[in-house]
Amino acid sequence: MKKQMVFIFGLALAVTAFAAPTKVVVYTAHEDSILNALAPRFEKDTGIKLEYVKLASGDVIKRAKAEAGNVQADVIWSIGGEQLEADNAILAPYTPKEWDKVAAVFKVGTNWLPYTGIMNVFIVNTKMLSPDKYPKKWTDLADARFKKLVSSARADKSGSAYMQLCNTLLIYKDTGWDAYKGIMQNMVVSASSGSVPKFVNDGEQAVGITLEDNAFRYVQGGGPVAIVYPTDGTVAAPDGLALLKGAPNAEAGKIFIDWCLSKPIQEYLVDNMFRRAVRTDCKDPPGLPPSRTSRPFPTISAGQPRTRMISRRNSRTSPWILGSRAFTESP
Amino acid sequence: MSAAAKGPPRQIDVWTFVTLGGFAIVGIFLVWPLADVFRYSFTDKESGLLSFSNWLEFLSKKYYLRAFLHSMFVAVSTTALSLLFGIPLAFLTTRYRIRGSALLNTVAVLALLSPPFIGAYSWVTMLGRSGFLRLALDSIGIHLPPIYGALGIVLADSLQYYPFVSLMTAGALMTIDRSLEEASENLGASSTRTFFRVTLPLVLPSVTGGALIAFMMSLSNFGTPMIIGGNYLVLPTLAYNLFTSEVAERPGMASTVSLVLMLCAAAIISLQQWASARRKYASMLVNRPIIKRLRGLPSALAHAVCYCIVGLSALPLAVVVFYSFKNTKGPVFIKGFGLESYRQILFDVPKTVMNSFTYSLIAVALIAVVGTLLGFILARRRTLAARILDPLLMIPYIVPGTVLGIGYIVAFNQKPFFLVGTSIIIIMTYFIRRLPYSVRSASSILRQIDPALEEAGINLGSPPGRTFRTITLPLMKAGIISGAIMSWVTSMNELSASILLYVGRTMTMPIKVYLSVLDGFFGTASAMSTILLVVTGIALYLVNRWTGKGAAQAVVGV
Repeated sequence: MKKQMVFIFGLALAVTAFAAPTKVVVYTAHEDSILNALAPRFEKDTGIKLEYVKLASGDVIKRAKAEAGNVQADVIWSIGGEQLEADNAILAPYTPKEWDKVAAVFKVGTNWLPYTGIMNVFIVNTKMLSPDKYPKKWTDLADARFKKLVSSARADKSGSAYMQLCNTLLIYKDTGWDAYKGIMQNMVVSASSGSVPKFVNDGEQAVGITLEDNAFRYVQGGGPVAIVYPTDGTVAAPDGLALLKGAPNAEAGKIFIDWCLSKPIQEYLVDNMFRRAVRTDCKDPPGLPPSRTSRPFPTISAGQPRTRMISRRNSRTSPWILGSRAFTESP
Repeated sequence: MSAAAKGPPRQIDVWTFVTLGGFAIVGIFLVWPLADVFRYSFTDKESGLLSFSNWLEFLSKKYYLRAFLHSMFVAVSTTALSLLFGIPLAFLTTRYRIRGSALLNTVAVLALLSPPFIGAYSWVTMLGRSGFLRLALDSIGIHLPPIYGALGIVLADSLQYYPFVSLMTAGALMTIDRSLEEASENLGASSTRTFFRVTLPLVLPSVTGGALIAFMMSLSNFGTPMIIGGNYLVLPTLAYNLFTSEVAERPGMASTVSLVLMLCAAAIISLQQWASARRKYASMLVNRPIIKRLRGLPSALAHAVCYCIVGLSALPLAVVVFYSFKNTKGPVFIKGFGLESYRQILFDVPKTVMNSFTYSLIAVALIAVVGTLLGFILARRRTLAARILDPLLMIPYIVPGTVLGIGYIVAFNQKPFFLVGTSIIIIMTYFIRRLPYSVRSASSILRQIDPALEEAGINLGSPPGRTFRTITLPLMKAGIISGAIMSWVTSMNELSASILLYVGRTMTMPIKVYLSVLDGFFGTASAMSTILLVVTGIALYLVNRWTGKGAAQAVVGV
């Protein structure tokens, strides 16, 4: 009897080991409404169970890094590309099936894969500012009239705030640091990038620097806000997807990644999340200007500005602290 | 007053093992997971060698020293205000008949449970630049100072943390010997003089115990300063930002800041011990105070004071409940009311409510047992070991939950403990993070009970374990229950460590709230917070019913 049990148990184990993948574990920063729509859809399309853990994007990386000794998840889904690039040691390279359909401008390598394109824009409170008073370009945000009225997050904490810094550095090159410091003088730093448009919507701050899709949801919701595309350019950086090194369900993870980059899913994201597709064969989100009208559109070849920033960081005594002090001390 | 406090020579008994157990808990649940963090503080950023460079940087940069001074200012002001709110509330509700005092006490406890992040946002909604209260007051000519900065933090913190003072003080006020106050009044002292010269000194251990918790909470709170601090930097926000910053390769400065917080905590604990040990009054619990009935103006005044304090602290909760019923379109609140926000979270409600209850109740059962035993050691056995254990047990107050969470992932995702992804690890976090409440509460109440009662037991031949069970424990009931309630309510609310340790099936209510805030959906966050408030309120009410006493008494634990 006992032997029989052992045999059956062993057989069961063997079957699980060789059977088609049955589940995939994903760490994600995706919004709930998207998860509620996409998770059942994936399970229906592939027959694989999707177990996701939703976290703030910084927590996704922290958790994956802390678990590197005994990996618990298979895929990281929708966190900033630059965050993935910075910690690509915990990622496993993978070339997705339809890699040739992905726009070259977003491609950085195959350690992590571009998932959607996101732009940094200004969100303005239309009750507090008349259209002629809107900030037009990045340096306008340093104007004295916006003192303590610019809402943003910490560039060393929030992925989107980090992108804003890179954005300023890319546009203003050598004077970029001073430009960003000027903007910081006026900033009220909020706890998470998600609350930036909320503070502008509620009239606590007049201008926010935030992601296009975040801002657009407030416009769509009928809040007293408008989107301003900076005339001196803005960066569309991809958020990414990546397979984790040592993933327990690596095969299922690959299936999941291919599914995320497939045309129907990319179109869903364009229509429902107002993100820009990374595929060349998808249109722009409804209600938003086509990408080409917002002027130069360089992608952060992620990692590169970060390296630059970090070397910059080491060359001075913690500019972050100098920077934060600069605005802490403003009277 | 008694010889036991001096610690006579003793042999190995059951308390020796409890002390060892206390060190084992600190070792396994705190030191081991956090060892890396402490090590980084003494490691040079550039060379990776042992050095004090982080400490020198902390001491030499105005930036850090200013954050330190800000923290001290906020914590001291918060504590002062908590005493100002907590003592009158405790005194009035335990000594006089206050209509609806059961409700008052329940609401005060719920105020402790200001849902993560949402509570601070509520203050912004009321008193921010476009806050409705500010606009309303502006229109009648009252101009308030801006809420962003030290003022806002102190306001929000003290209105959230004063229940620690009021709960512990009320518990103590109901155990003191009435004849002492009566003697004072018979000798001609006014009731004010009696209060300040007799009553207050008698309950000082509990008052300072509650003040200590309020101080620690506000010293280590980062959520409120982050949201309404504006650019007013305090140590916990600094530590949190340094720890969670994505560009920090070695968290040397972050752990130094945490260690500074811990040193502050240790200093404050010593101060509290000194204050409560300097004057020792213990009660035989024979002549308990009676509840007087007030009439006319004094009664009206007493009611006004109680309702004002509790009402103010309930304001953020009321705002949350209000917004949970407001209609939304995406993240934007629009005109009209409905149940849309509730409908959106319906799917997650049963699971998260069940999880929160299961985990927090298991944790609290463990906390009550372990906390009571350890509280006994700290209060009664003033050995060197107990003195070392005391500040060590305060570590959970000071270490940011995020740091503990990361430490736990690393420590409990390897041999011999594979606990990541289980509910055990969440219960463990609740246990260790909320244990100090029970320890504190138990030791404060013990300092008030005359050791002579226990000595009598021992003199009559009862071994220490049995004396504890049959004499001390029943006397401590008040302290144990109020400690357990504080631990439970705050466990229900634990976020910063469990957020890093949860998986889909172990999601709890505060995690759900936080994730909605993260998405910018304050409607659903408010709805989930409201559910959290309601179920906690019901549970507190049921506890009161089961213990067969009025709500007020069960909450204060007598």
